[in-house]
Amino acid sequence: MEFNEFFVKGMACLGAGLAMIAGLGPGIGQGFAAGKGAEAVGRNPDASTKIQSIMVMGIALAETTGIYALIIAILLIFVKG
Amino acid sequence: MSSEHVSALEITIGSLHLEIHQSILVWLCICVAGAIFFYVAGKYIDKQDPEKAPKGIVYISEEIYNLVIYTIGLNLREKTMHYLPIFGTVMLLMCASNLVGLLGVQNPTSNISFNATLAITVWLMIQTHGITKHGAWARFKELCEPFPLLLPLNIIGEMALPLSLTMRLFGNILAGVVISLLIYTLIKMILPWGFLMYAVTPFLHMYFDIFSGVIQTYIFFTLASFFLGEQVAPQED
Repeated sequence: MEFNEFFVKGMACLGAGLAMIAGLGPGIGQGFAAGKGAEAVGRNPDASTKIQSIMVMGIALAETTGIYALIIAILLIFVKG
Repeated sequence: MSSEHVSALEITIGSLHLEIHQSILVWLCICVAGAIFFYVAGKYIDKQDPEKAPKGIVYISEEIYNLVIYTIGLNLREKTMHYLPIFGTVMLLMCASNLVGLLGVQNPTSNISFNATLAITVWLMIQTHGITKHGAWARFKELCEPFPLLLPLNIIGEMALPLSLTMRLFGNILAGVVISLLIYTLIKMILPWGFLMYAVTPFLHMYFDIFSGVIQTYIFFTLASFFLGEQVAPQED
C-alpha cells in the first residue's frame, strides 16, 4: 500500500464523515430545550413571548458545538482533498 | 468549492502585491452607506418636534435605538449609555452585512478574518476595561477564584471566548452558503426546467440568510455585553 495523494483524499473524506457524528449532540439538546419551553408555555400562557425569546436564544447557543464539527468537516473535504 | 473567479481589487506597488477580497470591499460600501444614513438621520432628528409622533427616518432610528437598548440593557446595568455608541453602530452594520448576501455579493461575515477581528476587538475591550477599572492584581485574583490550582483552566476558559464568538458567527453563515450552493447545483442537475427552483429557494434564503443572520447578531452582542457587564458593572449581592 503506497501513501500517495489518493490515500490522503480518502482518509480526509473518512475523517469528515466521522466528525459529523457530533451532530447528535445539538439535536438532542435542542429538542430537550424546546420540550421544556413548550411545557413552560403550557403552565403559564401569558408569558409566552418572553419564554419564546429565551428559548430561541438557548437553542442558538446550544448549536455551537455542532457548528464546530461542521467547520472541521468542511475544512477536511475542501482543503485536504 | 466554486471554480468561478470572485472579483477582488489588486494593487501592485513595486514589488508589493496586495489583493483585497470582495467581502472587504462590500464591508467598505456598507460602512459608507451607514455613515450617510446616520448623518441624514441626525439632521432630521434635530429638526423634529418632540411633541409630535415621529414618522419616516426618525421612527426607524427610534426603533433601532430601542432594539439596541433591549439587547444590551439588561447586561450592562448602569453603564449602558456609556457603551451604547459602539455596540449600536457595530450591531447595525453587522446586521446589514449578514443580510447583504441576499443581493448576490459575498457578505463580509463569510470571511473568517473579519469575524476574528470583531471577536478579538470585543475581547480586548473586555480585558482592558476590566483591568483599568479594578486593577491588574484584582483581575489576577479573580482568575484564581475557587482554588489557585485552577489558574490554567480559568485562563483557557478566557481564551475560549473569542474563539467561540468567531466560530459561531462564521460557521452559521458558511453553512448557509454551502447548503445553498449544493441545492442550486442539485436542482440544475436533476430538474429539466431551471425555473422550478424558484419555488424552493425562497425558503432556503428565508431561513439561512434572514433568520439565521439576525439571530446570530443578537446572540453575538448579548454575549459580548454579558461578559463586559461582569467586568464593568458587576452585580453586588
